[in-house]
Amino acid sequence: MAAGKSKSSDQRLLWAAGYALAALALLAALALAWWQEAHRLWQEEVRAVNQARATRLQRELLAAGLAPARAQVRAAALAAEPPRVIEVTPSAFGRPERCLTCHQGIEQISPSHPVEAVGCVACHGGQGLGLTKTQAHRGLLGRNPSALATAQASCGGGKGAAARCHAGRQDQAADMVYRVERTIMATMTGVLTSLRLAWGAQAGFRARFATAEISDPRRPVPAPPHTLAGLLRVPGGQPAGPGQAHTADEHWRKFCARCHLRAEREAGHSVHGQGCAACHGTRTESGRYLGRDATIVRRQPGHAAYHRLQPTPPEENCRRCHNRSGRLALNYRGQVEDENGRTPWPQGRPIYSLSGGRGVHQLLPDVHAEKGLSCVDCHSGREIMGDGRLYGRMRFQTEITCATCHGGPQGPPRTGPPDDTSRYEAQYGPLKNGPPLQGDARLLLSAKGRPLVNLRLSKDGPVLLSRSQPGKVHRLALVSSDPQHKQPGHQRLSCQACHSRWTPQCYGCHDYRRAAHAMWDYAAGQPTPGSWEETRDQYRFTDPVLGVDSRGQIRPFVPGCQVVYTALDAAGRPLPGQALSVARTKAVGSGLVSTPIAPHTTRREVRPCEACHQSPKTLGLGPGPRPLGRLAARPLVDLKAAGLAADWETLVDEQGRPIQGQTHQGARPLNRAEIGRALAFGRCLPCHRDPQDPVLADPARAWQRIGPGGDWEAKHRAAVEKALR
Amino acid sequence: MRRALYLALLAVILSAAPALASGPDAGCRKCHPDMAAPMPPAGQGHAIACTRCHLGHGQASTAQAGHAGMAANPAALDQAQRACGPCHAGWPQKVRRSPMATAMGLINQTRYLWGAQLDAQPRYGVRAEGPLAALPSPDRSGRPVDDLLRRRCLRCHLWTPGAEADGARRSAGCAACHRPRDAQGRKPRGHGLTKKIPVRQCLTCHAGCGVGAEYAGQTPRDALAGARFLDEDPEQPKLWQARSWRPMQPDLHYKAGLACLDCHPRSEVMGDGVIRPAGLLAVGLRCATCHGRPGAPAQEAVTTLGAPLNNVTRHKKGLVLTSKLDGRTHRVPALAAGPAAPVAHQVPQHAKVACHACHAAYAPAAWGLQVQLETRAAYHLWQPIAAQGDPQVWDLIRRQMGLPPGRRTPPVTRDYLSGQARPGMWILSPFFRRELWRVYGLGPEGRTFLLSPRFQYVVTLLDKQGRLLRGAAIPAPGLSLTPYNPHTTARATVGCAACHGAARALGLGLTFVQEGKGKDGGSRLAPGLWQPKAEDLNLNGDWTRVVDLRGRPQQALLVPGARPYNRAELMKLLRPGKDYTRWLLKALDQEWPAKTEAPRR
Repeated sequence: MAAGKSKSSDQRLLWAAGYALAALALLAALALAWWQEAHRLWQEEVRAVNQARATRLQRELLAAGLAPARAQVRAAALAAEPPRVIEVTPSAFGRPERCLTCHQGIEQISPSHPVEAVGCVACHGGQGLGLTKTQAHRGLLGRNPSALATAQASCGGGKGAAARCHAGRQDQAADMVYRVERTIMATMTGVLTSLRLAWGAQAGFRARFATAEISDPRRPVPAPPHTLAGLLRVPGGQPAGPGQAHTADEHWRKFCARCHLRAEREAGHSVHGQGCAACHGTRTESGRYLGRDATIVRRQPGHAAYHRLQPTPPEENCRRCHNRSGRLALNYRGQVEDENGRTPWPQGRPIYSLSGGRGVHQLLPDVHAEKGLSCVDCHSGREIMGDGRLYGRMRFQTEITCATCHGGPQGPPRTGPPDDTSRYEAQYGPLKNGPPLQGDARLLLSAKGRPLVNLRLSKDGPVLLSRSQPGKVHRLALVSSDPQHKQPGHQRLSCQACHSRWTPQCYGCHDYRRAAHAMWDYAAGQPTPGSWEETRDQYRFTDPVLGVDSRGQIRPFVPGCQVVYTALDAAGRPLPGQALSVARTKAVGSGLVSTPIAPHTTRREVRPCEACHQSPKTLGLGPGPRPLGRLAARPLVDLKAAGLAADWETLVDEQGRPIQGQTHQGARPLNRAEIGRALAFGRCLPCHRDPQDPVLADPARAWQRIGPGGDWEAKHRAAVEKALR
Repeated sequence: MRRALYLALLAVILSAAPALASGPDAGCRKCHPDMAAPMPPAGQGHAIACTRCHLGHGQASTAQAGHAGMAANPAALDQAQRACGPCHAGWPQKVRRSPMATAMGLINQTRYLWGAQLDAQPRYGVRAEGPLAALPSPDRSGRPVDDLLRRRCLRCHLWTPGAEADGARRSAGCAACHRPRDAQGRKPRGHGLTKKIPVRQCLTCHAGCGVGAEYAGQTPRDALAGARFLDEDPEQPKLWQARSWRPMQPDLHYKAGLACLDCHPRSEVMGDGVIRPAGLLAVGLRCATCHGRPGAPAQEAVTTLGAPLNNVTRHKKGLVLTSKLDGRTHRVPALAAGPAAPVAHQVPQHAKVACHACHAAYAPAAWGLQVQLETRAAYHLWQPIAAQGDPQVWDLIRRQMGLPPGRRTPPVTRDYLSGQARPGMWILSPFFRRELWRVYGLGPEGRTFLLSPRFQYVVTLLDKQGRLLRGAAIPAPGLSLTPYNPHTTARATVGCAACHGAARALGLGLTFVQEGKGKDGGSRLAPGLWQPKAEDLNLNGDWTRVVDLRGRPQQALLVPGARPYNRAELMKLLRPGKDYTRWLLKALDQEWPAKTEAPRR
């Protein structure tokens, strides 16, 4: 027994010793590998880089048609180049940097950031004198230092007063990082607030949450209108229950949050980097690097195509995000989403060119697009990058209206002298090589009364200097030159009410939440339980339907969004009470929301007068046939069988009660009196349609005389009968 | 000779069943005791033996012996003459010549539009019948259109049974209609034919393509999977006829409980033996058949082809319709006349306007039709639009997408006429599915009629190796519309402006009349909204452009007598004159009285 015991303990000892030895050997090997890696001579690393460059060169030469033997020779020569240190001392900082030793061939980021002046470290951080990757990349700010988490340190140039670039500046216009951190594209609070309101997650219209916690310590006192002191980070964590109100934040985190300046899309149509690079960067749908720096991985998405920032963001960068919801970037180019497999198929396949398997049909583009204008030609830097203030809604941040350029019926656009921002933009912005901004120049003013640097009053009238096509000057047409615009009764009409040719109508949005599946959560940075899907009912391009926006202007309305919610269990069955539910809240009304929009489908040609004055549909009373003596259309859809509360295209009932909700505070459908007045004129229209007609000059007076009880009532009736005999 | 055959048959039957009880079908009943439903129904005529229709050996003692030579569906068109004809004399021949059996409108119009024959006259049918030759196989004719017809369109005609999909299952021949299925398409228990044919049975064919399903309030949804709104779980779509449907307001006659057969008389449905150049011409039923014209109520219900509606009788207060399905009676309202009648009924020129022009609540239509012969195993391209209404395509794509990409095989689909499988599948997709685009022209009787694309073909063909043969080409003559009476009747109407002054409604395209006059003093149209040329499609204007401002037709209308508006008509309707204004003012007073307000200063 004892012998057996000692034998077994001997064996155990032996085994233990064996294990210890093996472990030691493994550790030693690891240590050796680590030591070798850490103390690898920089020459070896550069040789590897040269080898990579050589391989690439050879491939390029072969592709260009060079004889294989010669390509081989030239590649071999490059690979055999002895490693040498490339040192640059950026003039702005005076400290030498050796990054180009490895990153040979990398593109110059932009003409205003030459490597000789700025170097690499100012933006990317790291150790400029390091020669191996490990040494040099210590403290690196990452692949995209313009991401808002690092922009302060990189673009801001936060290493002491001498290096202040785009942050910490006295001049507010130059304080880009501060501005962009607060712009609505970074906070995304407008979308989030609308969603929370419509889904019943909050009761009031005040914006409370954003992509990240942010405040505005520099907000002037008294506070400018519609500005906010601060916003909290969107709530995370699991919804408290399956109901729509509980899941609003999660829906935003998993769906909507893909597009804002703190999020990245690695590849696909909506590919974009974070921060400044979202607009100024260069990415392609593959999400891969295509430039000449051999050290950058070319097989993975998530890279800029080139190490290049564009001073003027190209329109495609705007489109990467602005192709959903109002779809302004699509509308502007006349593109409308398809829903039948994007016919025709000249190549034998449907073309789904947008994210989410969406394709587009081509309609007439916006007239401004036809004239060669891009987004940034109209929209100012303050609108896009923000003016430093926090706004709860996009419409509070935007400044331009049609009248900014084209004036109104009564007169030309307003003008004023340049201010600090316009002077700064003239000096450093896309127009810096354009005509200089003279001290006595007159600039056109935005709706907030601020001068816009590319809109100038010239001898021949107001002009727009193109930012997208430097050197191009557009003369601006004036609304006041056409007397039709002065017709009484149309003062509250937005330009879009008549000049929008069509609106995109994404009717009905069915959101499904599966509690059993997980999905990527953009706030948590990892998948969390609860996955979402969306289907729509119909996508149409139709003549605009009109309502009253939050500023009291009559304007096209589009679905925005008409959400029906279903929570599914693991088997795909709806949870009790959570099938096809529609939220209803005091502030918004129905969870089926219609929203005022500037559709960006502007055309010179306008719909005939009858399109409003004889069309209850345009006035919001619904499409389809009307029973005799009734204004409201009978819904075409069998609402009961469809399980729906209301027709998608009907904004208001015959009594003037809103049918759909509004997330814009103060927006509403036309009321009974407005509808009644518009249709009353429909009766006059067959005779009184000439703009010079005196009846049109003062319809109220005319009505008073010829309407019921008026002194000319009988005379008018006789005149009508005579005229129509 | 025939008598000798019958004798021989009798001998066989007798010899096979020496030990059985009496009755020529006693053997059948031994195994099929639950085939209780007698033929004909109890109390009508004499009970007849199973073998009278089904053949086989009625006194055999084994299934094998009994079923030898049997006809499972004696109502199939190749059996009906023998089985049904002796009692229902003449009907089998008429049915064989009816549009539902020959499909000649569909066949000849499509072949003409694809350039496979010189005109759309009836030349080919599903089978050779009277003057019609049998539709050739594509191998013989070398015409891809024959392949499209055989593998996609000709799922619906009386020679073949329906497809194996919810909503599409039915028998062939007489039984296609007279032996209705339940909601899931299952055969009813037992056995029997009926004259009470519910709407749903007609919809097994008449859905998604022409008049039909909209009568019951169903219109096809857009094909893209993301456009399926109401399915409770998007991953488990509830399809009907392999596509998804939107519930719409049904026709008011449907709501009142009327089935298709309550209006359409027998001679229209089963045929009258005449082969006409278009199916529409076989329909003599008009609204006026029952409702008369304003101020002139119908005295008797007889169609324009002389067929009486034998379920409509005259009573003191007018006509009364008795439903063939449930026996309920419906008073047929006469149309009001006089100053209190709807203004549109008073306008004398509206005698030339079909009722549906105003009373059809909506007009579901598929504008533009891309067609592709797909021979590659590229199912991922088509998965988003797999539910496009063809059970073969839906099943194939779903099955193949369940396999890993490397194991997917090129598509093979079945010819509905020959039953033969051939490589490739036909994928179809409309450009724009719309309910609210109303486009008018003149119907065969010269009355204003809605038009519907039938069809506007854009063809992409791949060869057997999957190489592109033809990319999105419009064949010559290619584009066609048909006069269309959508069965979406509502009391409510669309109003004067739906036609008068409405360029799109008059067939001028997706445009409107601008203020002011054009260079030639005529109307000025806004540029067309959709830009097909920017989509690599060689098309002038768009699908709704049937005619140009000078009155030149831009597309074909294949029903004889139908045409787009001519120049004079266009001018009158685009720039309404005094006459119109007078009526319009009256109509507006009637349409929204006292709902208008004084203008504000």
